[in-house]
Amino acid sequence: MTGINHYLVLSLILFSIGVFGVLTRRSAIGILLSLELMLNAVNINLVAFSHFLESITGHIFAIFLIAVAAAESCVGLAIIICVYRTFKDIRADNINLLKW
Amino acid sequence: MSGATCFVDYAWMVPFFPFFAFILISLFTVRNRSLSAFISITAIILSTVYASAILYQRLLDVHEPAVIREITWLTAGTVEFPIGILVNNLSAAMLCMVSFIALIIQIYSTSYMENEEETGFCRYFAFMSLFAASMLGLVISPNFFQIYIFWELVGLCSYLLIGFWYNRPAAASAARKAFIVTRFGDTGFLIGIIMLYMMTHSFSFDAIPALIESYRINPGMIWSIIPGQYLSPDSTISLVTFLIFCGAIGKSALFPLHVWLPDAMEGPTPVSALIHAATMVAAGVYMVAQTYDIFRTSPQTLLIIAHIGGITAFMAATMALAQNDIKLVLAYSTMSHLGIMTLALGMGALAAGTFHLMTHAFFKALLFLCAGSVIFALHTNNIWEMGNLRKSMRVTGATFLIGALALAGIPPFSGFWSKDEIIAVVFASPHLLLKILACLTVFITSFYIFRVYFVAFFSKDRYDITPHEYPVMTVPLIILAIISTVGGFVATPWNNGFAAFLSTDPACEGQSVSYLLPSVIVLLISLFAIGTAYSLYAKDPAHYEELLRLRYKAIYSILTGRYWIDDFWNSIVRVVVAFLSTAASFIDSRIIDGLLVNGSAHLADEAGKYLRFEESGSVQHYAVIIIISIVIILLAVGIIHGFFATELLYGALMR
Amino acid sequence: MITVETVIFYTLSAIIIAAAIVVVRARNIFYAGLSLAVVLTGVAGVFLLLRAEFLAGMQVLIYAGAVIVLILFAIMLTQGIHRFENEPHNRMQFLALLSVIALSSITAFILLVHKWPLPVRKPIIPVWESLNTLETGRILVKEFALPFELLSVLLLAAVMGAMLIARKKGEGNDGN
Repeated sequence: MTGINHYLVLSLILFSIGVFGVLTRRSAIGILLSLELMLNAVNINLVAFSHFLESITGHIFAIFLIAVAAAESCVGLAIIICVYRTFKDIRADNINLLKW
Repeated sequence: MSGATCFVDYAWMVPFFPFFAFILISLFTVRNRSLSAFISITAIILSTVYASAILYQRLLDVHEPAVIREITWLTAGTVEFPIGILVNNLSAAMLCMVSFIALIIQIYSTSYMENEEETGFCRYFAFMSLFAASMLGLVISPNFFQIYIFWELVGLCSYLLIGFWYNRPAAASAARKAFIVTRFGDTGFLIGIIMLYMMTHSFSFDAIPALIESYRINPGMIWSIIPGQYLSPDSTISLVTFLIFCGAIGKSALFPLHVWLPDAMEGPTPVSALIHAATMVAAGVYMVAQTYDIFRTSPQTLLIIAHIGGITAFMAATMALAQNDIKLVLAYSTMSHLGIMTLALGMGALAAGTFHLMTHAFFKALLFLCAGSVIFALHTNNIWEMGNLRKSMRVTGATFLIGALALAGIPPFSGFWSKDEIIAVVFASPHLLLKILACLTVFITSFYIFRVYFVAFFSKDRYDITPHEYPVMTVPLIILAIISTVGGFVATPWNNGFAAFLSTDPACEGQSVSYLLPSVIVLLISLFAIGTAYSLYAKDPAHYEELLRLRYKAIYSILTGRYWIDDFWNSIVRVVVAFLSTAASFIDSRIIDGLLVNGSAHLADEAGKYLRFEESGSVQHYAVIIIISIVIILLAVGIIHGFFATELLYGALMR
Repeated sequence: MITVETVIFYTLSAIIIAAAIVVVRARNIFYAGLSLAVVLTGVAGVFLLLRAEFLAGMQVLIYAGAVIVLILFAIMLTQGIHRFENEPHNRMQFLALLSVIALSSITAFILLVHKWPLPVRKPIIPVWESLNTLETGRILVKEFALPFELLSVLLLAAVMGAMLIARKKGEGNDGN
């Protein structure tokens, strides 16, 4: 019998992996991928609560979240392309003009 | 009576005239000599006239109670600081004496100081006026708060006038020494005033004696010096009165705070006459006399006062023997007589001591002004460079002789009447030491003053300029000489008008029983001393002086070393000042500059040096820091709110 | 007790987590992108488990369909494939791992210890009998109509913004 705790733990693990990726990945696209992981973890969380609390609002929120995530990855990728054109490089630790 | 009482109510006008003169001179007439002198002398004339009027009024209402008017000036919580005026017979007499002598000396000064350049001359009169204002204000103070204010003002004027020729290092350091030594006494005075207020909740002279008696029965406030042991009310009263007397020790140059008075002779001679002979140094004695009822509550303090007076009188007289500077002889003589006055007050002879204060003011001022006349004519202070002046400066010689006779206590001059009252009181008391000291002092006093007279005014002249006298100087001398001659008759043993004037209750004057015997003894001692001085110094003084110095070499060195009390105070001050300055400079340079100022700058510098590496430019780096911060905050909040601990008690963590 | 649901749940979780680890650790960015597709599909399966059918469909359509394609195009456009000779990860690994583990353990503790105020569950209904899609549809056009419309405006803005950012310099108004 899977209770809410199972889904919460799944969501948490997925989120943590996503955070690790965001912090560690050198490529900007890699960071975006990890970001998607985080967003999906949140979605799982929302839908789990929606299921266990008998409320449909969680589903709606998740729908919106998917839409927003799509928009955001669209714009993010556009920015990455732009950066690529400027620096010829998308490694996050090489784009460091604000260094000391 | 109401009309007359009115003008006594305005007795504060007496110090106001010279104060106003000070303001005028210092603001407006600093370049104009004659105008400054005119303003100053006019003001003091007005004060003298007003004071005389007040005295006359008091003579009419001798038995009326004192006129006391007080208003509250400041309040601090429950403490009220009153100011006002006190006009009783003593203060009226003192007002008259102070203003009159100040007038005479200011007239004399117009001639003595004529070689000063303008700003010096005007500055002198400004300060003289300020001093007159301060002293007169002190005389009419009805409470300790006000008298302390004027006490300090008088000390300030003394500083300004001793250091009048401020370009001279000796004068500057003498002024500083005077101020600091009197400060020691004033500190004791202030502590005494504060303790007295804490005991009695009053500053006023007339209210305090009764309050002290009620304190003795029912003490509201007790102190302890050794922790755990509290002072009894009697000891506290003695301590407080002694502390108040400390102010007088400093101001009146009594042992052991007398060291400033000889150095104060660096000032101009009229200043020495006014401040350090007639008025300021008398302020201490005056304060004790005015608050005598307070001292009467503590017989132990009175005993200490008497002994300090006796010791000072003797010591100062001995030191006067070995001086070659005429002003220094007179300075030590002043010190000696102040000791005599203090002795009288300690013995309970209030009228005698106060009368001696009055007569001493006149003849000492006279002696100083004579000395000033000689100094002005010959440009030297050293008696061994003078001689035979009774021929070349007749008026000065004659008046100096009158002054010397008054000092030595020869009838019919004023000194006789005043000093003998005191001697009689001392002889009537059981203290053997004081009697011996008194006799010795009388001998030495006559001896030293006539030594000066014979060396300077007799024998051969030892100078090559012709000395001249000046009328502006000699007329004051004559006036003072006349007063010194006849002034004593107000208080003869048979008809003591002064004592009667001074107090409505007879005080301790019942001791004048054996008046005759002590007077005769003392007179004989004085005449013997004068004779000795004549035989030694009249014909060939240098020879005998050499002889005496060689014979009594040890004593002579003690006297010229001033009993090494000066050195004692100097070493204490040096140690304290050295310690304080080392500590202060250490704190300033190492702690404030080094630690706080430079240290904080250095800290900011180092912090910047290391923290700038955090600016890596890498967003992921910043993100890691954010995550770590979130973890820390979560932990902190959780622990503070007991979240983790209480949840641990639940046990089952996983479903 | 172990039901089918439980088995399916654990299997799906294993797939999701394994693929997620590949996403964050793959040396080759293309493989990372493909693993992301696996994760997204797995998440859609979890949605189905939770009786969110409409959402599962949308997840597959939008995420696993459009977004992955978008990402793969971006990878190709930035020629990222060739660029990682050595370490694809920066110096932060150890520190990031540590902080992530700390954060997740604290959060896990908080989440699991807390007693969620859940209503009593009705007996499990089969998927084909759940009415969530109907509910979703109804809510979207009744209470959440305005946010729905705003969402379309947001998407329009995102598309326009992306076009503006990504166009080449020198291309005037004629670029798309």
